[in-house]
Amino acid sequence: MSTLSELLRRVNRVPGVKGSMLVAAEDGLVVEADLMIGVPGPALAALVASLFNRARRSLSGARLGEPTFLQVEAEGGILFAAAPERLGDLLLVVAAEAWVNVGLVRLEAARVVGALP
Amino acid sequence: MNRPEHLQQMRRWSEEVARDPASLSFLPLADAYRASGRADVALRLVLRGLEHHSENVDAHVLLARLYHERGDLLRAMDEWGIVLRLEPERVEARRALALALYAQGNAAAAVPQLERALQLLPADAELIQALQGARAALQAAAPPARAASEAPPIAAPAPPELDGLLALPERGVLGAVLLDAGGRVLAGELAVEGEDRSAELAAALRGASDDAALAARHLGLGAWTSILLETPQATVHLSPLPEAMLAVAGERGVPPGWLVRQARRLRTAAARWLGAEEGV
Repeated sequence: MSTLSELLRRVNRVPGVKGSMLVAAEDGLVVEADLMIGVPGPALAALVASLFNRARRSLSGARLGEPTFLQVEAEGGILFAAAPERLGDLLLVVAAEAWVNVGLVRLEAARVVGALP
Repeated sequence: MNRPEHLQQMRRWSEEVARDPASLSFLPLADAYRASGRADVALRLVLRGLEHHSENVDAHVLLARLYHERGDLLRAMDEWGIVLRLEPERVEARRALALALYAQGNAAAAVPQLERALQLLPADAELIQALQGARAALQAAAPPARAASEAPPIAAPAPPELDGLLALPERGVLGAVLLDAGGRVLAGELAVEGEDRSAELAAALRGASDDAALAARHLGLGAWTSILLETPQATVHLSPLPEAMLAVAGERGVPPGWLVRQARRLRTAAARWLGAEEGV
C-alpha cells in the first residue's frame, strides 16, 4: 500500500467520513482516491478544486494570503479541502456526513499529513 | 512595420503557437488580432495562453481589456484584480478597476479605489470626474427614507451589527462585507494592512456561491450553508443570503468557532436588513 493511500485510509477511519482523495489543485484531477460507493470522485475533485482556486484568487486579491484549508457545509454533508505545504500542489479532499466531528477530521488529516516523509 | 511585414510576423507567431502551445508568442499574436478587430480570436488565444502562463501579468491585462471592450465589466474587474495581485503598482489596472467600480454603480467601493488611483495619476480628468460623481452618489444615497418608486441606493450604510463587529478590533476581526450576487459590495468593509480590500474580495468571490451550490447539488448534499477558508494570515467565513452573500474575516489568531458564531449572528441581521431594503 502506498504512503498516499495509507494517508487516505487513516482519514477515512473517522466516523462519518465517506471518503477522501488527493487531487491536483491546478486541474482538479484525481491522483489517489479511497471513496465509498456512490461518491462521485472525479466530479467532487473537479468541483472542489475549482472552488479552492477561486478562493485562492479572491483571498490573494484581498491580501489575505493563500488558502490552506476550505470547508463547505451543506444541508446533507460537509466537504473539506486542505492544502498543506507537505503535499505540494495536491489537495487533500474529504467528503463527510453532516454530523461528522469536524475537529476530529481536521486533527486526523493534520496528523497524517504531518507524518508524511 | 508595413502591412505585409506585419502579416508575416503574425504568421510566424501563429506557427510558433501551433508548434508549441506554451510559447509566449500567444501574447503579441492575440494583441495583433485585437488590434485588427478579431477580438474573439484574441480572447481564445489569451485564455489558452493563460493555461500555460497563469501568472503572466500582460496576458491578464490583455484579457481584462478584451472583456472590457466586450462590455463584460465583471470579468474585466476580475482580471484587473488579478493584475493588481500580481503587480500592485500597475497603474493601468488600478485606474481601470476604480473606473469600472464607478461605472458599475458601486460608489461606496469606487471612492477609495478612485482616491488610490488619483494618488498615482493626480491630473487624470476622468478619475477626478468619477470621484466627484461617486461622492455625489454617496451623498445622494445618504438619506434613509426614499420614495418606493426610486431606484435602490448604489451603496447603503452597513447594518448596525456590521458596524458593531467592525468596532471590535481587539478580537482580531478584519471586517464583514455584504456582497450581492454580482460581486458588488452592499455594505461593510474589510481592512487589511490599513486599507479597505472589500472590492477586491467581492469581485473575485463573484461566482463562489454558484461553485459551492454546484458542488453541493452534484453530490446530492442539498443547499450549501457556509464556507470556511483559512490562510496563514486570516480566517474567512462565507454564508449565503437570498441574492447575496456575507463574508466575515478575522485574523488567524481568532478562534474559528468564535468567528462562525459571529458570522451566524451577522447573517441573521443582514437577512433582516436585506428584507427591509426590499420592502422599502
